[in-house]
Amino acid sequence: MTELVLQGVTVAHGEREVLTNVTSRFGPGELIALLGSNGAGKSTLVRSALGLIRINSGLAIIDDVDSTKISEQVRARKVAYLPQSRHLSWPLSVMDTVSLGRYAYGVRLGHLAGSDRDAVNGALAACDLESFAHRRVDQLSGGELARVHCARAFATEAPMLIADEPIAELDPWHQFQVMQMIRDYVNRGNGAVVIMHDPELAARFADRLIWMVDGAVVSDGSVMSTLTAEQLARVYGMKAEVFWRESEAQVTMLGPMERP
Amino acid sequence: MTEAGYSSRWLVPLLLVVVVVLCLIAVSFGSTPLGLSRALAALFGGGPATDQIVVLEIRLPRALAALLTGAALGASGAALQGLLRNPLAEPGVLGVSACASLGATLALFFGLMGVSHWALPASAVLGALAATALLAFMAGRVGSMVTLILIGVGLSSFAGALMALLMNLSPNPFTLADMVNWMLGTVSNRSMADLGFAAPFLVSGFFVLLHIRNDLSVLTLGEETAKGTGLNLDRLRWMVIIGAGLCTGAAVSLAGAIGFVGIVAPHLVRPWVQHRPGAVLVPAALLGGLILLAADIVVRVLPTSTELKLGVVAALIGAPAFVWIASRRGLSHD
Repeated sequence: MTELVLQGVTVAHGEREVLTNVTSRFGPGELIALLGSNGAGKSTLVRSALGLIRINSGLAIIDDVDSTKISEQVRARKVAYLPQSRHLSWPLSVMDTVSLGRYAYGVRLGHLAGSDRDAVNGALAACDLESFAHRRVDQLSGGELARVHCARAFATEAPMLIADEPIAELDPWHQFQVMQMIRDYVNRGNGAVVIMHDPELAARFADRLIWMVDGAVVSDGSVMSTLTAEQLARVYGMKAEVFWRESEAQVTMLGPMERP
Repeated sequence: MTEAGYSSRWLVPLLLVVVVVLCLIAVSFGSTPLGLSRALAALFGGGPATDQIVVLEIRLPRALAALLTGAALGASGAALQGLLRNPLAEPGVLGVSACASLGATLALFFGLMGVSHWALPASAVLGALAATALLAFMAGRVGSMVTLILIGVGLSSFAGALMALLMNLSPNPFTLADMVNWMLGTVSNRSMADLGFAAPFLVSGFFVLLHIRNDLSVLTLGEETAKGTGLNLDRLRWMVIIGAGLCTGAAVSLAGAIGFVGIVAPHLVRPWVQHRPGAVLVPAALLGGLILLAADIVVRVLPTSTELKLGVVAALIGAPAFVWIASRRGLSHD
């Protein structure tokens, strides 16, 4: 079980603060969706939680240790990271790409054995990729490639997953498929923080929503309590209606609000 | 599920066999034809003294120099391509070889060889290390491979200009001839002692690169993802700077400026190792050595009035190969 804690984290690029005094806690058994408009600081938040960028003030803590003081390998075993970019520099096989998820355990490509092989095969199965294992990644569609990256992150068998827009550029069917894979991962007792842009999909899959505006967290709570028309107006500047059918939210965006 | 194809399992042993065969050909043929049996006898200390001199003091050092130079350039190319995630990266293209040549030319210009035999390999290695360090530093800042290659082109031109200046100011025609020969690239007249001076740099550089094979593979994911997957990127950068710098510097100190081996060898090997950046390193080194050894045999047996320089032949074949690789790839990965 891994816990990520942010304590008053502020990140600035030059004079401009891109993350302002953020305090939050991400733990096991919870799928947290991070929502906000472009440039609201979502990626900066997760990257600072991982210790990938320099924090100007505050603390990012992974399992009671300052994230900047943990070695890359130890951190990678605790938190799997699924960034926005799916680009691969060389046309590796699907099997090799997923095997890279075991890098923190010292795995060499083509030399999988024991628990590493089990982890990779398990991740390939979880993402329905077994029949693709020997295909080259440059021969895959966008949806297939997104699943390969999910499998790579799952192969790490880290108790926490941080995913930066894992469903961007995917069609609705693949969006559901990837979100369901992350949901299943959380249902196995892990934790996940997922950056996304679709409040309705977030409401369907997440346990908790964190809303951001201009580098600050403006709301953090359950789906029912935080997904409101007022929230959507504040976060996206959109007029919207939110209907609830039992516990399922239906969001209709009516149009942009007039800016003062 | 099989993880590695048969091709990658047999590639290294196959290349090793070809290397041995080419070495035997290299010591057997030349202006004094010995044939395999006499060459083998001389190689193991038998046969007439003249045969032993031809084989052990002329042909073997020359063949080993070609082999080691090619291997060092092949390994450096593979490592730089892995670090910069681009098949066009190579010591020659990026100006590392030119800076090593500048170091060597400076040693020749100032007559440092009279001070110590280590002066030339050491200054070549220093030149190469300075260039790789600059490139790795710039790679972190510019982010674009095209820009980085242009920086390499600039670096190469600047080192070339400084070498031209040194030749211009050359104190006597002998020094000038030394420098010109250096810039053309050759392994003729190399002795076991020359090999001995380059070997420590070359071997240590190669082991540094071997050590980071696995890290190059994870970099396929891109820098930030690789860091998130557990890579210590700063350490990897330094290791490639040191490893490729030592290898390229040693190669240049042995043979002068020889281009394009570092781009062609990894490129040819890559499909046979399933494009794994770490697995490219050893076969690329072997193939690089093999290419230069074969080219040097051709240079020796060609009936030209003046022997062609190895660097000239390498560039004649390598430059079109570079253009071909670049045009097939386009700019899609920038």
